[in-house]
Amino acid sequence: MSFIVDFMSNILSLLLMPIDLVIKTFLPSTSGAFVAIGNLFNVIMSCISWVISLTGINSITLTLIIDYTIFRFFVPLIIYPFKLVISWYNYLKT
Amino acid sequence: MKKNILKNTMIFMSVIFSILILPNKVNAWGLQTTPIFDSGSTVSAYNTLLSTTSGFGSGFKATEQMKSLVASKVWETLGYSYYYVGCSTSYSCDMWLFNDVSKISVDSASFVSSPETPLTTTILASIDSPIYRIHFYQSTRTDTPVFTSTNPSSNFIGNSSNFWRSGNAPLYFNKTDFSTYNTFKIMNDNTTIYYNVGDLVATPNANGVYSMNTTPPVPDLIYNKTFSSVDLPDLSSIRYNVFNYGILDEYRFKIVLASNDLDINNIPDLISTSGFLTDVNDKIIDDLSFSNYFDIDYTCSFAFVGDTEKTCIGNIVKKDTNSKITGFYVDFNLDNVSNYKIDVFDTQDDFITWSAISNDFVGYQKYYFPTDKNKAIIRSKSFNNSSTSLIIPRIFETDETYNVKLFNFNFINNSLISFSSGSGFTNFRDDYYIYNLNINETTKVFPLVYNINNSDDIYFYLKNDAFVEFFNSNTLSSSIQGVDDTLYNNHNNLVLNGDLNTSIDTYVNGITSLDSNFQNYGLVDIIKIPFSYLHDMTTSSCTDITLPIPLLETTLVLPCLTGFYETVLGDWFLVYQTIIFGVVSYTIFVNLFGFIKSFQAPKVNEIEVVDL
Repeated sequence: MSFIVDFMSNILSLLLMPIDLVIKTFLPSTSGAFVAIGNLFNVIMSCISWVISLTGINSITLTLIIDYTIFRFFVPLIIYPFKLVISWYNYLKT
Repeated sequence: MKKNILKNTMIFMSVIFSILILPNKVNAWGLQTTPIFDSGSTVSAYNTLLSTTSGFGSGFKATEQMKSLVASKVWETLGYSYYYVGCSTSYSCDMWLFNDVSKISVDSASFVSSPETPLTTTILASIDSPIYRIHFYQSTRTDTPVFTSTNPSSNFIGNSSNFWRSGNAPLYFNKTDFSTYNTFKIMNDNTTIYYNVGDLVATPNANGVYSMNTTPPVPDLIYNKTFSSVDLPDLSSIRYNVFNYGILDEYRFKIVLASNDLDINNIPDLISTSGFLTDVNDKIIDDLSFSNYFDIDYTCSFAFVGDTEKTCIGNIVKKDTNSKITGFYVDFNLDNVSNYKIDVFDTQDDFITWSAISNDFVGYQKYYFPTDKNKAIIRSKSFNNSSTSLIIPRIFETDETYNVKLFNFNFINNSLISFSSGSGFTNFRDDYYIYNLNINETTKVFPLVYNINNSDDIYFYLKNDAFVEFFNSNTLSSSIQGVDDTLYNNHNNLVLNGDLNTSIDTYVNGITSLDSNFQNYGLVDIIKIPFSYLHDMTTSSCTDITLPIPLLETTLVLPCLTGFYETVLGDWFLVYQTIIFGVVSYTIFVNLFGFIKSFQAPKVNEIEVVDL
């Protein structure tokens, strides 16, 4: 399921980068705040592996949880194009 | 309705657009070091001894018994070529040497040449030392061999030691340590010999074994440079080229970094020393090469002599049972003598272990980005096979507009296995730890700190034996020329060191490509970080959490607990994990069943299923 994460991550980069650039150019303080938040996230996230070791969950269980989570989060994205095409069809039909 | 369709169309087109122009993943590239030393390349064979014609360019003259003369090019770097010449035994060999050779020493005689006068010497070998070598340096620095032989180099059994040096550094020898050597020569690339080599050569004893004089020569030239902690980009380097063909079971040397007031007559405990420092305008990095064919423990004695004299004593290189150099370790304590580095190469199997040591071994060393540099590579190594945390770089900055990015290149068995970029490494505040790198014997990590704004007041601290190398695109070629690194191109193909310039260009291009791929400004990172960690969570291994405690100058380390659980709980831990797995599986199954079932009941659908 990791390709879905890669896919989403790259899409987000593509879509948000121009916005980021605008913020960076015209609102540098806001950009700095974003960066600080990102750094905070990074610090927090870097502790996840240690937290996992604290819980004692093995890798199989962890993989199962993550795959299911990804599946639940990103199924809407997968079916969205179908929904869109059908809406087109319905629109043209009317 | 039309509004929704328009919105949906835009989203869908964005998705398609993203797929089409999705940026490629960052190209995999990086640095890899390789030894310069080429131990076996025979230049050519010389069919007959040259005529007895005297004068410039005449070449070689010998008796009819002369046999097994071999010339091997063993060193070639920076346009200089160095040759070994082997002459077989118990015969007399009259030699004519080119008059552009400044000096040569052999067993029984040594001569000083002048540019106008050709050299003549006699090589006397003993029965107990049937074959010996002359270390020959051709100052014209061409690849044209001066001496060759009808016999291949495989016939050569060499007993010799070659010390090559460059620059204006002292060179010391205690000849008692070379008692079994019968040939000895000192060379440098300025065609200047600092010592009366004849003093180094003694006559053979009754058994025909040569010994050296016991009185070490007094160094006549001391390298004069005062180092400071911030001039690392102009790092003077230390280069050793030590060849040991098995006669000695121990080799010792001493590096002397000296200031003006060094008392050259009071250098402590010189056992045998060879060393030099290249000028700051020379190469940034030189190397320490060991070519050991026997089970040899190399030991060293470092003496850093200056205003405050510090000495390090320790084992440097020790071979394991597989004849592989496994480590490099030096105990030392330095205050005033600042930055230096030593690289160690194992030339036997191209496995490279290397080391770089800053002067502040136990603490943090502050390095600044120079004004003309915008990139830096932090290099480190492992002391042994065990995984050891070696680098704790900390980046500091005073201006929040700076952008610093850090990229890691992990190599296992000379193959790039992973590449990562530090996210959030922009606009640092104080005390931001970048990484706590774990490096083992086969993994090399090359963090690249990249200062986009090319500022000079970004600096960072490195702990332990880390070394930082600064460069920019324009000066990269000259700055790492001495490294002779093997580089990887953008397609993760190994670029051999034969064309270093091309490799460097590729390297620079790789850096440029990194620039274009990591132009994030904060908002993207915030959203991407959870994705990236979600992606890596199942594959990443636990790392100890290291938290610096302000004011106390100490660090809190929270170790990973899996090993602890396994040790303490034993099989109960497996039972616990099995139960957890069962609970999680059941929960997921129930949720998944409900999730799928909800597709059939759009009215209660939690995921906004298609309204067919």
